[in-house]
Amino acid sequence: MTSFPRKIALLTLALLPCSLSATGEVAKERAAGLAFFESKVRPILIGNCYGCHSEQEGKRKGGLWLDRKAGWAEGGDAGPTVLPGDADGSLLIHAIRYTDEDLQMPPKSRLKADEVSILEEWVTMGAPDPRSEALAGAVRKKEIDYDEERKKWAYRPLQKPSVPGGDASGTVDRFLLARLGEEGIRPASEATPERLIRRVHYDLTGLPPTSDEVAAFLSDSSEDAFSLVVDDLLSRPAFGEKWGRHWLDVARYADSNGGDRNFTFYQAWRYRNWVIDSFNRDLSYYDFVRAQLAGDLLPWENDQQRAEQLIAATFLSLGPKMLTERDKEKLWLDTVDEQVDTMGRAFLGLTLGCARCHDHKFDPVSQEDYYAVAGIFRSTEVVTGTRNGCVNVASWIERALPVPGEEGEELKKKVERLQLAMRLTVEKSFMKKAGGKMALGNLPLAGVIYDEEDAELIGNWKDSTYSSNRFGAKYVHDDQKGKGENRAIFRASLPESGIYEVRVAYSPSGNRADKVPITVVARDGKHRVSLDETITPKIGGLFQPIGQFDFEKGGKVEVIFDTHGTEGRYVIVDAVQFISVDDIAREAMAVDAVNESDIDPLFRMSEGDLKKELNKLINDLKDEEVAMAPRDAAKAQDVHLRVRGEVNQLGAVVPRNFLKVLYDGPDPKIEEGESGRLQLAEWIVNPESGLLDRVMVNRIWLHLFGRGIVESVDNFGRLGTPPTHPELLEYLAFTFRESGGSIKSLVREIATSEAYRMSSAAAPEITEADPANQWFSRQNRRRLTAEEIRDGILFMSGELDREPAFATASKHGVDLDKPLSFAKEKKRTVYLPVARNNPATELAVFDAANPDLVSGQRSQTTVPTQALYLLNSEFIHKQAGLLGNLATQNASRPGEEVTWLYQTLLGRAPNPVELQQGLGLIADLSGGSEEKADLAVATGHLAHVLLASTEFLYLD
Amino acid sequence: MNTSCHQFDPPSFSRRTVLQSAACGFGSLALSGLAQAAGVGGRNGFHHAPRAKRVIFLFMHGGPSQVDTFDYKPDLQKRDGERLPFAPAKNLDPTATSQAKLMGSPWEFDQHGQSGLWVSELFPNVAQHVDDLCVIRSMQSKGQSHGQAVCMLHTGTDNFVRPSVGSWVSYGLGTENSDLPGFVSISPSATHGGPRNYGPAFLPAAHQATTIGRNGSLGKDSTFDFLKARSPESIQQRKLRMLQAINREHYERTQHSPVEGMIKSMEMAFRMQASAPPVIDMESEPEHIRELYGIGTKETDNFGRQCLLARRFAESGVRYIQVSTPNVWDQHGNLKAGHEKNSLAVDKPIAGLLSDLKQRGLLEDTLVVWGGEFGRTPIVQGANGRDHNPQGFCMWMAGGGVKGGLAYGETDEFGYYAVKDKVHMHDLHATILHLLGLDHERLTYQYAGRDFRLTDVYGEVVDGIFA
Repeated sequence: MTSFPRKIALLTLALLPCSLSATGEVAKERAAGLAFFESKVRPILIGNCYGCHSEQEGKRKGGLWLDRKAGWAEGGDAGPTVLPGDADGSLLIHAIRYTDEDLQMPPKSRLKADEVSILEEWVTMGAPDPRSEALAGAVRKKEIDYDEERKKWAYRPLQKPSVPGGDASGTVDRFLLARLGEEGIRPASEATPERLIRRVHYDLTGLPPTSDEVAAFLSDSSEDAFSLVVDDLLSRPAFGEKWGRHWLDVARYADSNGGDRNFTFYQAWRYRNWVIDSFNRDLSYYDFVRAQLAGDLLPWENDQQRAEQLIAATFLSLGPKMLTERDKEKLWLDTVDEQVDTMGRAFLGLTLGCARCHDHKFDPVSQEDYYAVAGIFRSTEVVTGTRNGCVNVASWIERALPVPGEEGEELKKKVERLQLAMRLTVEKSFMKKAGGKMALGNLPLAGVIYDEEDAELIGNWKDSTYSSNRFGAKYVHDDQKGKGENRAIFRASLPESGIYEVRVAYSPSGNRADKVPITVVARDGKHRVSLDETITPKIGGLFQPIGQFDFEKGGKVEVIFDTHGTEGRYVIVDAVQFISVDDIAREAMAVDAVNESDIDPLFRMSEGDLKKELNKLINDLKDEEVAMAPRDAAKAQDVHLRVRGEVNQLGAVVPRNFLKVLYDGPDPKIEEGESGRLQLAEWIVNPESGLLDRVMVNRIWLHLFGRGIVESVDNFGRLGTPPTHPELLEYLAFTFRESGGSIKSLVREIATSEAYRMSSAAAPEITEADPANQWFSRQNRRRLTAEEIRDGILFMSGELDREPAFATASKHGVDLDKPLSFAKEKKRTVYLPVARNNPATELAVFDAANPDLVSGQRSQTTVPTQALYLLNSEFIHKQAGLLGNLATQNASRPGEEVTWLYQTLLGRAPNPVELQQGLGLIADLSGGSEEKADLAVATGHLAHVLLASTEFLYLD
Repeated sequence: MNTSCHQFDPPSFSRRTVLQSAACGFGSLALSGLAQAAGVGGRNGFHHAPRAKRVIFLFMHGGPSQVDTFDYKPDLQKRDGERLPFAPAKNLDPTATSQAKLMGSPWEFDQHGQSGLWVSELFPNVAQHVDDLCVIRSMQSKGQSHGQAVCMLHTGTDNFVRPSVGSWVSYGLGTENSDLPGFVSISPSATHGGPRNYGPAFLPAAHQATTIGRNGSLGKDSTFDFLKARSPESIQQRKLRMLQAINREHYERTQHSPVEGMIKSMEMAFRMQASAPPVIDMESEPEHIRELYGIGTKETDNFGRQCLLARRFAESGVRYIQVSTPNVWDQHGNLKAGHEKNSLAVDKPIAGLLSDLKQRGLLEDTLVVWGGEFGRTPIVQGANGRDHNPQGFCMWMAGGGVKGGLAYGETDEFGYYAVKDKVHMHDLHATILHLLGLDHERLTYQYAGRDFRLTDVYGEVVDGIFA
């Protein structure tokens, strides 16, 4: 590098404040600088940067223009690109040096070494640049007009709509009839009682009616016969099993992690059963929602309530996670993203995930809104430590459920121990690999520790073993000499990005320096602190905390001891400890223990022993009273906006808050140490906005009519579909709110309407006038769900075990990577494990919800695999055989077995033609044999035919 | 939809006539879910003239090492055992940050073909084809761990649930042969995301891959699920006759189109049970072809059969075919033994596939892609292994409109960071789509409030590799 321009720069600086006599010099230097720019710099910029950062190419990637001075001065999304005179501090130079894997420019090929030098030189000399084009065309960020948005149908407060007049007794019918009347369409007539009873049984309980139930309904001509059936079905446990499953689709419920490591969620079933139970006891929807977002933070009156609330919060932990992500901050933020997006779609029908990288393109959600909510979840701990002993494979938080007495205390300790083991295993594995010292001294320490041997000692330092209060074999001191010259630099690497407390070890004494200058280099730059080595360190008398800092894994992590200004006193350097703020409390319990026996041996275990202990603890706890619930993080705080969603591209800090489009009040009060999740939960169930109610009542409508009033059930935003019956939607939402969020009441109101009871077949003039059934002129025909097919068949064959099931996944082992078989299972499908990545065939073939995604409405595909499954699967064959046996046993003469099968499977008697068809089939396939066994086998074939029939598969 | 397919006439229906019925076709069509799927077809259309009609992706699960295969680094060889002369990536195994050393390749490299491309002795058979290979030496991807990187390679994201490349292709172009699925994955892995790597995510379910075999292994009698009938043909036929009669009556009563779809599915499903669909019947291949792929030889039999099956699918018009090794390339230790065993298993089959495609004139419009989810570090891990390296690695392509005998891009002198003409996994995806006639910026699907695409907001077509 030539030294010429550098000198000019220095001269320029020196001369700037000088008198006018120097202007000639300045002009000359400026000319030289500009010449340098023209001859050396501009060609590099044109050749390598203009492609993506110039007006002529019409590209301004990252918001940055490099074809004008104002472009780099203002900078792009990440702030000013060039700081004149400061090459090391300029983003441009940082990027072209190619030392930061997250920011390398030009993106495709590194500049040649001499080109990098030229640009460094140019910045150092003050970045002379004659290109004076203005930042014209700079796009002002479009501001969201929240006041205007809040008036839109989806976001505005609930309003009680006026109910149309008319003859219909029910309000729902009045709304529908009024609309049909406007269109000049008459509704379809009522479905036949056989079809109606089959429909309502499946819709409300997921099971078919028995022949006796069908007969009873058919013979009951009283006016309230149907509503009595509805009441009866609502009171059955099967209601929660059916409707709980609807919610589990929305909650992306699964019994394994999916993602990259498909670990079994041993405790997820508790949430599943809680959901089923909540629907059965008609828990208020608002309590239901609140508990899922903040159950772990809610007050409780008794152990049972506490347990239920903790279990409900499992909702937040259930998502698929990339547990092997090595950048744990990214893992944490990805987990937050999954939570924010799930919360948005599950409760509010909003696609919040879109705003992680930029303002939502269509809906009134800004990137600030996103990070305001993300801060709340970032302050919530879900992922932690390691699951399997490998430093890269994270685990998740579990909480002990309240268990009375000593047992409960034991359990709590065990759970806490598991978390500790997870953390310590990461740290010790890391220390072993990183070459630092393990905390195997007397103190039961966590975190990672670097001894003075690991430090670069500059100047003269003396080894000492004088004080036995030390870390490792020895410590060093400066012998009161070389003040200002002597320095000690600890260069550390850390297992995860995050907030760490830094502690330094020294043996205190009155002759030590009381103002040791220490510099800590963290993610956000250098921090200077002063250490008093005369006082006794707080941690075990050896380690003294000097502050908490934000460090980036793989970034610069340095602690530098200086000796300036410590004349006449000793500076001691012994060790530096970095402890994650999440571990401080756990460690303190051990350090502060009065008795040696109170110190957990985990602290002093070798890495190998820790791994073994970890496995043992996981295994010991898998059947214990434990919930997969999160908790508030040790360090609750606002987060930085991430430019373009990139974890390491920090923008401004965004205070935690609610979504502006749904909230117009003062900033929420979030106390120090609180995540804000409790406030968020209270806000979301607040009646101020009706969105929560609208989304839920629409889903309930969907499950009874096959289509939502808003067809895009999980998206109430601009790209969703508007409601076909806005007043009806508003009425339902309003009624729902007034009822205190009673789902059963709403189901009852809709199911007992005349509209619900309509036939799915309608006269041609109706289907012509309303071809897509936009106006609900008839019922929608629907296929049975995967669960209804399996449960229904088991129910009819008498094999279904109606009792609830519990931890059905744990017997499959530590992960669910092998395909599950339900062949031997007899419980209802809702209780069987949902394996992410490996759904059981019975679920996958008939469009069960994808547990990776919020799924308010399942797709209904018709694919040949379904036909193959119906023809050839072991399950259908076996069940058909059982049904054949039952039919034969129930028949006292030929023909009765056919009737029995029709009544049991299709809920109706066969007509004469069908009866003959059935008998013909039995005759053909029994080969004319009169043997009971042969007849039963042949009857089984008839059962198989009916099970594979479309009439069985569809609800008309 | 071919209407003749549901003119179902039970008395005259026999397996033989159906087998011969070209109109309705045969094979795995019914499994694809595509031929019969009601209302879930793709957008079916090119954005521009395609250079390739189909893709065979040879996935080396675990991450083969670039510096031991196709990216020759003399400097690395010379400085074997020296301390790292560069700063390693941020999320590397911590050993690399404190005491990392370089490790030269234990294998010899040689130049091959007219082009003189370097290939190590691990791939003697593939080396014979270098003049057909376009070796991209400057690959980069996202994800330091398998889970993320495997997901990135298959779906263009390291953390979200998104459709697989093959699903996008199936959605974009449908299938060349309406009797076959657009996307087939042969022996896909159950781990590192498993089915989500060949799943449709939010695209219609029909664009999921049809799979055969599992976890890098293709058993001799591998077939599709539920293909085996459980009772004799005569009984099945008798039952089907009644079933279709009552189903048709149901359809007449309801006029519900999915009911009609199910009627058609039933017919097709019944036909499929007749025998293994010809497309997966490799017994019909002559001995010299089987030998070409290394079938019958212990070490190469499994992967050879996978490659041969891939050719058969390609020939029959499947758009996107993936072949996967088991997760065997992950040599954190024992690099020498591991890579030798792995390359032995795939070298001859891959060379056989290239020869076979070529002799059939299929290589011209079939894009063959080879590679793992990432490469490996030139830095030693433990005593004799290498860690993951998404910062720089190589993949190669052949046929389908790419320039043969070309080495594109460079890593640094040690093979660690890609530094010249970098090709990010997003760029590779954009390029594959481009070669198939699809514009990665226009192949979109609306879901959850916005348009999604395979390359998200990234990806540039690498036109420097086009023939």
